[in-house]
This record gives sequence, structure tokens and C-alpha cells, in this order.
Amino acid sequence: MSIKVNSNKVDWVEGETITELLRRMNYVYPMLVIKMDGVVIPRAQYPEKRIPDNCTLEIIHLESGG
Amino acid sequence: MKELDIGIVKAKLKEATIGIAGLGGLGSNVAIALARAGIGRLVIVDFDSVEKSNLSRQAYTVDQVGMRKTEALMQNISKANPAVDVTAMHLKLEPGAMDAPFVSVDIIIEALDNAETKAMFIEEISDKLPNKPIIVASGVAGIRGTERIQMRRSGNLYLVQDEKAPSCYDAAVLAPKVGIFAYWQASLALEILLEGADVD
Repeated sequence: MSIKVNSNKVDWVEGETITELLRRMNYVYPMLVIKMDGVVIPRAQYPEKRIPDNCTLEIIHLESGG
Repeated sequence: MKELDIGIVKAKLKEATIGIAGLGGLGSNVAIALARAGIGRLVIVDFDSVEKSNLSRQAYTVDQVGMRKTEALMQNISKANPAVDVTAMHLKLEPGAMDAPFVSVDIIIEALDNAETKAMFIEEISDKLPNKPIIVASGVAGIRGTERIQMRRSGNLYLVQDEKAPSCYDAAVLAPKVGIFAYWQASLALEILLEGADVD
């Protein structure tokens, strides 16, 4: 029972939301774009969006400047 | 390169349209690179005017301070390659309509400044124009860390990134580093346009 986060294998926690995963993984960057199984998840959904087993997450951290 | 291949490259680039969101250190340099490479059409979008402080990294000149970036960049593109068809939109990309200028382009270059705006733009484009490649850059500020710059791809999302770079609010953004990002974005656009063509 595991998920992939940016190619790293991470334990799957039943019922865990994106917000909870970010906290568990100690993400400190404030501005992220997250793809769950290839689909971008709007930030407003992070607190409710539950992560299924075997899910592939890509977490992209964005920094200001351009 | 074989002569035949040069012909293929020229023809494919000539028929392509690239949209550029934001005309700062990234966008202005991407536009010039693509113009020189022979892109057919550019859609350039920004709401800002050229400031003196921009000249440390953006593709404008001293005499253009005060001009709209869209107009100044049109001039500079035309000086580099008058054959490029430029559509310039002087507007601020607002949530809910960020995709509008880019509906008919082949590839979108994300060249916005603020991290929150970048995230909103990526979310909205991915939702409304999911089949369109979008090339994002992040981490252009600071002097050190050039060796950390890398490219990540996830489906239609391409990211040129220095993951450990500081924010532009904490460190300088200067032409050399942001130029690497901009030219990498432009190069990726060519790779996508020429995918499958025997050009190397």
C-alpha cells in the first residue's frame, strides 16, 4: 500500500487528503501545483481531496520571478 | 544539418503560433529567441510598461522606458525578424479568463512573475486547454545555482526549474540566469513543434 510522490515511494494512509499529505511530508513551500494521476487538482480542493492507494502525485513548487 | 532538414524546420516553424503570458525577463527573451529561430506567429500578453529597472534582464532598451511592453517588444521582434506575425495584447490576465488569449496557439509559454499568478495560470490552462503544451519556468532569481536548473515533464506540462532558488522578493533577477530559463523554454517549444521530424 503505497503512493508515488515525485517518483519517491511513500506509504499510503487511508483517507488522507492532499493537505494532510503535505503536512506529513513537511512541505513548507507556499505555492504549489499538484497533479494527481496526471490531472491538476485546484488548490481549493486540497483540504477535501482524498488520495487513493497506488496514486501518482506530482508536486511542483513555484517561486516568484519572471 | 542537411539542406532538406533546414527546409523542414523553417516550414514547420513558419506555420506555428506560440503564446507568451508575461513579457518580463522570461517572456521578452523567449519572444526574441523564437523570432530569430523563425517562428511564424507570436501572441504576446502583458499589462505592464517598461521601467528602467527592467533593463537588467528584459529585452528592452533605454529609449523604450515608459512604453507598453507589448509595443516595445513588437518593435524589437520586428527588428530581429520582420517576418514574424505578432499579435500583442495589452491586458492583465484575470482568473476565469486567463486562457482566452491562448485558445488558438500551439504552445503556451508561462512567463509570469508572481508565484500565485503562475499557479493560477497553470491550473486554469490545464483545466480549460488540457491538450495544449504549457512550458513553465520557476526559480529564476539569485546568482548561484545555475547547475541546479533542470527540466521536468508531466504530460503536457513542461517545467524548467531551479527548485532551491530564492524568491525574486529576496534576491536579484539578472539577465544571465533568467536568460538560461527563457532560452530553455524557447528551445523546448522548438522541440515540441519539431517532434518526429528528422532534424538532428
